[in-house]
Amino acid sequence: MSSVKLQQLLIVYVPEKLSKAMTNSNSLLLSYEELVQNHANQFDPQIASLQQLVETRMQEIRNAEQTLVEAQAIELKRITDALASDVRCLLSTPGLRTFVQELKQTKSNNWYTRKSKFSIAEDPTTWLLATLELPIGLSNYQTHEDLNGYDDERNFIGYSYTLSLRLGSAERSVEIPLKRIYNVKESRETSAKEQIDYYISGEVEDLLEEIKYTEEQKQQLAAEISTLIGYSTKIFTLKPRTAIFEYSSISEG
Amino acid sequence: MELYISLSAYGGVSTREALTIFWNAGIRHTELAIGPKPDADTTQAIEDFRQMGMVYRAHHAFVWSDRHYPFNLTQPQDWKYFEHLTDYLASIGITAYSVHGGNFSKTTERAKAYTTFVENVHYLHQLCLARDIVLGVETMYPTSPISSVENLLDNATELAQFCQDFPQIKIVVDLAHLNIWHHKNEVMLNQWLELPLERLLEIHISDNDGRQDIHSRITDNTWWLSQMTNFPKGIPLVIESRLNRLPVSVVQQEYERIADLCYLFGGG
Repeated sequence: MSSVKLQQLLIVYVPEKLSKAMTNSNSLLLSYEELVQNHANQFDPQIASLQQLVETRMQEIRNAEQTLVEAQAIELKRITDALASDVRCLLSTPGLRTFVQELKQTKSNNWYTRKSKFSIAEDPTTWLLATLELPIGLSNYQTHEDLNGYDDERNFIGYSYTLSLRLGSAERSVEIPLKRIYNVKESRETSAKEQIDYYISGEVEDLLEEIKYTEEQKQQLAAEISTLIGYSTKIFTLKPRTAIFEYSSISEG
Repeated sequence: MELYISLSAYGGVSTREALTIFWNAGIRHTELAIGPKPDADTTQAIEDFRQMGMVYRAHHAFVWSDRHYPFNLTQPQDWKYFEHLTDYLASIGITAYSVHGGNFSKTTERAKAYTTFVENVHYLHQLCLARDIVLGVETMYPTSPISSVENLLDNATELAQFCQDFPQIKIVVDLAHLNIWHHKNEVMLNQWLELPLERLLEIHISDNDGRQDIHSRITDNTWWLSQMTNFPKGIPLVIESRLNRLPVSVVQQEYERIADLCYLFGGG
C-alpha cells in the first residue's frame, strides 16, 4: 500500500471527536504562533541593530578607558609589591582603621580557653608592630576552588585563598577558607573575624615562635599581625575599575 | 592494637584510588567514611580490596554507592535506607558501625532533638543487632558560636546521660572532638577512656587547634599523646588526619609513625 493511501486510510479511521479536538488545538496554536512570528519579524531586527550599536559604542568606550585601566593596574602592582616587601605600609590607611573598629565591635566568640585574647588599639599607627624592625611580607595571593570538599557529615564546594607570609626570615603558606556551598539552598561564609581567629592567628603565632621577643610581645604582635593580614586580603582582591554596560530586560517580563 | 585509617583521611578521589593508596602504603585496616567521590565503581572497589584482604569498619554517612547520602539523626529517617545500608554492611562482613548524634537548629530545643535522636538510634540499633553489627555513637564537639546549629553529645553531661539511657550501645571517643570541648582536661579524658572496655567501640584520632575540627596531623604537641599509656588495650584506633593528595610514601610514613606511637605509648 502506498504511503499516500495509508495516510488517507488513517485519516478515515481517526475518531470524529478526536479529529475535531486536534483541529481546534491546531488552530488555537496557529493563531498564537502567527502572532509570535509577526513579533519576531517586526522586532528582532531592531534588537539586533541595538545590540550592534551597544557593541560598537562599548568598543569605543573600551578604547577610551584603556589608559586609565592600565594606570590602575600599574598602581595595584605597586601596592602588591609594597605588601610583598612590608605589609605594615597599610598601618596608616583609613580603611584599616575602619576595619579594626568593625572587628572590635563584632561580638567576641572567644569561649575557648586555650588562647588568651589580646586587645588591639583602634589606631593601628600606635601598634607595637609599628615600633619594631620586623618586616612582614605578604605575596602570592591565589584563590582556589575545591569541588570535592567535605566535613565530617557532608560534601561541599569550597572556596579559599592562599598567601605566602614572611616574618623576618621565616616564611609559610597560609590557606584561608572563604565559603562552603553545601547545596543550592545552603552555604556558609567565613567572616573576617573567623578568618583571623581560626585560620590566620595560629599560623602567625607559629611563625613568631621562631623570632626572639618576650611571650607577651609575641601575643600582642600575633593579634596585630593577624588583623593586618585579615585586612590586607581586601586589598589583594582589588581590580582595575572598568566600564560595564549592564542591561537586563528579564525583570520586565 | 589495631590501627585503622579512615577514608576521610584521603578524600577527593574515587574510593578505588584511595584504597589503592592505602593498600600500596601497606595498610590493611580501613574505616569506610565520607571523603571519597561517590561513583558507580564504589561498591566494586570496596569488594575487590576486601577480597585481597582489606578489613573494614564503617562510620556515619560513609560513601558506598554512586551518590552520598548525608543524614541527621535528630530528624525523622527513611528507614528503608538504613535497612539497605545495614544489609550492605552485613553483606561485606562489617561488624562495627558508628554514627553521629546529629545536629539541630539553635532555635530548636535540645531536649526535643535528643528525644528524636534516641528514637532513631534505638531503631538503628535493632537493625544492627539483627545483622550482628555492633553500633557505636561518637562524641561530638561544640560548634562555633556563630553557627546556626549545635551538635548533640557535644558535652560530658549529655554523653553521660546517653551512656545511662543506652547501656547496650557503644561509644566512639573522638579525641580531636574532645579537644574542642569547653571544659576539657586530662581528668575528663581519662574518665571517657576508663569506660568499661565493652562500652568502647573505637577511638578516632587527629588533631586541631582546639576551635575547629580541622583534622590536622598528630604532632609531638598533640594534647592526648601524654595520655596514650592510659588508652584501653584492644580498642581499635582510627586515624582521621587529612592526607589528601599526598603520595603513597607519605601516607605510609604517617601510618607507620602513628603505629609506632601506639606501640611505644600504648603498649602494642
